[in-house]
Amino acid sequence: MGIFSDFGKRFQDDWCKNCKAQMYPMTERLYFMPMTVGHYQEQKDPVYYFNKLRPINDVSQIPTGFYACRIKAYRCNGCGQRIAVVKPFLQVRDSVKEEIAVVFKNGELDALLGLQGW
Amino acid sequence: MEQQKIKKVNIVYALLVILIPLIIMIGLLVASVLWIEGDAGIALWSVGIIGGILWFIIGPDQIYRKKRDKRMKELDASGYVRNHTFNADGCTVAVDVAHGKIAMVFKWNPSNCFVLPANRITNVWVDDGKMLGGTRRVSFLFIVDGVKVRVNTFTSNRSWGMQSNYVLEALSKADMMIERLQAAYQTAQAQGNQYYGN
Repeated sequence: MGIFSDFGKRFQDDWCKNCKAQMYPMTERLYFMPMTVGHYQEQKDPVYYFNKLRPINDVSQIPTGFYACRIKAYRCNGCGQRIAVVKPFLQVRDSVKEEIAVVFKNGELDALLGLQGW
Repeated sequence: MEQQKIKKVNIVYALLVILIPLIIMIGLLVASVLWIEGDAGIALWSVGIIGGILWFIIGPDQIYRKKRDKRMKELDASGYVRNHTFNADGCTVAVDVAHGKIAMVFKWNPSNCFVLPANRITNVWVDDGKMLGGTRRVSFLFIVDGVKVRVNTFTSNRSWGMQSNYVLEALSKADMMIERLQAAYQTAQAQGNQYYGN
């Protein structure tokens, strides 16, 4: 049990990498990304997200051929660690093409998500 | 830029691209067999064969790319606003939504760029090429002035699942281009843009 649960926690998105406790979602938001299909580039600079993203309510507001992303913030109840996971995706009819998630561990996107002071 | 009827293939150009290298290749082969003996003959024979094959693989594509880039620069200089340009293996389509126009350059007629009001398009659709749950080709098609233009957004020599990333991306590209063509069509209709040029 120990080895397997440790392995699972280490690689599971919503488990804290420090204390291996489950992290709880604080907020989740959907944003339009101004990148067209075929021109996606992974963005690791938080400044990009502040300057370029535009909040939207649901996937129907994404123009055809453009990317969007879900940003989900988590908090660990054990050690207080917080992370923001950016999951870019391309909506294609009823399907979704997902890109590699980008994780921010130092509160870089707090202002964007309205989480200052937490 | 051309105003005449759309011509996807320029027969003279196609023949020149195929025949001239073929004649040179055959000439080298004949020369290597009849007049040049020994290693030099074999070398010439090899150059003829390899050069000919290489030409047929990359030659027409290289000419198409260079001419296409030149045509696109001319288009930009003429005030055409390229909102979306799709470069495919056999055809390039540039859509100017603001002015309701489309521009096309074809691989086998790369010296001509056809610029037309988008309301001369009579039909647009996406062909996902679905067969037995997979596809080898995704393309968007439109009929303009009675000529069917197919632009591939994905081709493969093997079948890919409809949910594979390659196919999803290709479908998205095709859907996006169709939307832009329809938007250009609406603009052209609103402007009553029946003839080329403003």
